[in-house]
Amino acid sequence: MLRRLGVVVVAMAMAACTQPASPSSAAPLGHTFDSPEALAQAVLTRLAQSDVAGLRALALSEQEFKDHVWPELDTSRPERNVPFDYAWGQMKQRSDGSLGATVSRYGGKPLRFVRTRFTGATTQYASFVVMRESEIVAADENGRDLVLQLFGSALVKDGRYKVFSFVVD
Amino acid sequence: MKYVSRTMAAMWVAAALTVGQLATVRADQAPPVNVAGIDKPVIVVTGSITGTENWTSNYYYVLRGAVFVQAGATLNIAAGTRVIGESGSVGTLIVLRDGRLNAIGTRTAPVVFTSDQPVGSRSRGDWGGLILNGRAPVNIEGGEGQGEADTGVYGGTNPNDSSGTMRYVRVEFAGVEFSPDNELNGIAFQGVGRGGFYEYIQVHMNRDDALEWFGGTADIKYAVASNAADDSFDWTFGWSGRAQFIAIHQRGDDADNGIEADNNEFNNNLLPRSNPQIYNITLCGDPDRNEGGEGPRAANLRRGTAFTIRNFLVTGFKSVGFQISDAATSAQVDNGTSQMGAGVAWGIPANMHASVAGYITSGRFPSVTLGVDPGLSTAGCANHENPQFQPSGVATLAGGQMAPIQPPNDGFFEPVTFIGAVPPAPADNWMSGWTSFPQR
Repeated sequence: MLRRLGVVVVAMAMAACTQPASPSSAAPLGHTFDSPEALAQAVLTRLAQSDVAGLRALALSEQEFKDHVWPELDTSRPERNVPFDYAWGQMKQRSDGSLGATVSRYGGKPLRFVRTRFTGATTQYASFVVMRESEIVAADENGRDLVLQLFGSALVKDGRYKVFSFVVD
Repeated sequence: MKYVSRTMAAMWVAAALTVGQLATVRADQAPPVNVAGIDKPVIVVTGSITGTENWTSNYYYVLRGAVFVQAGATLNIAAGTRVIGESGSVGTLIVLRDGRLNAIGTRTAPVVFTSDQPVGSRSRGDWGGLILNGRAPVNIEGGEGQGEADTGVYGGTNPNDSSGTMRYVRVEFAGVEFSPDNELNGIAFQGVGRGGFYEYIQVHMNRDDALEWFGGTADIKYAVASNAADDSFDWTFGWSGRAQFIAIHQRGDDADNGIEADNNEFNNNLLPRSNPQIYNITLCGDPDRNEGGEGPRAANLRRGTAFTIRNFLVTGFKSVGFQISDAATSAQVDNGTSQMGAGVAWGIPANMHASVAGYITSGRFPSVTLGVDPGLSTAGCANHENPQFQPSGVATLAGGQMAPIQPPNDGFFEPVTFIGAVPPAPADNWMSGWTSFPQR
């Protein structure tokens, strides 16, 4: 009887882990796009306008990170004892720093989108996918192709693409 | 609401099971327990450390999850103590502002922070790492970093702040990913002041940067950064500490810059400006392309940082030696703030980037020799299991061009007769006895 109860508990636990952890009341992600190409184009457009606020909006907000991402990260498991604020703050600081450098370097420059891909690993979470190490090829005013890393990973949820963060190492 | 509660409960169970499956050490929390196959009692540490705690080599200490040394608390770790970061829970040690970590090893009995995985199965990112938060100045707007909550805030107005002292300490196989795009450094010095002492420190096989300085004034001496998957020695946000006798070794399977140096990404001219003084540094890249194509550059100096880099040996990088990447950083050379000199770079496709070579040619960066082996074997320096940082004495000391520039007589720096991190043979090699370079 005890063994059977244990099996039930484990099954419940596994089921819980494979379900989307974000509450149904969470607002859907904002500023998403239906393809990585559209997302990359949006980044280039805002970059050409040096629109920092617009670029920030393309990435996960604190609320979106809390509602959609955090519950599914291993880091949020209780035994890891990592406060949400700590994890978010660390990432936001690095993301803001990288965004600042990206805008400083490429802001105001008209770059024409050519193609994009992700050169890093893809990680499947319960309700979303993370595609790492974005790479955008864009043509400058002289028609020369530039290979750029303008943001870090992309998050894909319900078929929609969003910038995970601007962290570029 | 019921759904959420039940889900959470189930996740707790799942998490506990997962930890049990992954953790090498299966033990409950303190008091110490004996674990089969382990030669000392084990103390599993969770949550927060308050007051004063003394860890000794009579036990193994397992960091389960993030362990915070709270403000006002002091953690003393004695020589020979082994602290194990649990993989399943990603053990991490975070010292909050006004907390102190004193980890005092010896040459024959270092304090070791390591993975819980068996020897031969260890890898970068097995556990978290060390994060030290202090109250020394940073050039982040508002004077503090990461001010989202009361955990992990760093920076302040006290350059003499102390976060403790570390001596003869190894940190290995750390650097786990907290979240996508956010990996941990081996040791992150965040707004740490010069009130403490950091010497004889090795960070080995970290998944992100080995040693990173986020502002602050902390000094470091006798340090080794080896096999970091990202940058070996990284600074930003206004670090103005001093460093002497720094040895950097890369492995080409995964690496970036030997040094990555920023002032501030948002505004390259924010103050206090990053302006460390570094004397006697050896940077060994990995020239073996069979190992991997990573490790392009010995130093990327950028985003307005100032610097003093003197008495250096640089070899083995895939593309280039030192590079100044933007006008804001060149301006610090042109206005007389940044200094470089007394060094040798060889065995690199471009021993120095044009942005640096011009200053060498003009004499602005004096006594820099390019393309001449000073008696330090590039292959020996790139030996992953046993890197040789000690040059042959005759070659290094031959000729005035290889004489060192004496560092300031300020009580921190030591006078030297050599360039590079390690004195030429047969002098004592300070790296022997306490460093270790396991690949797995």
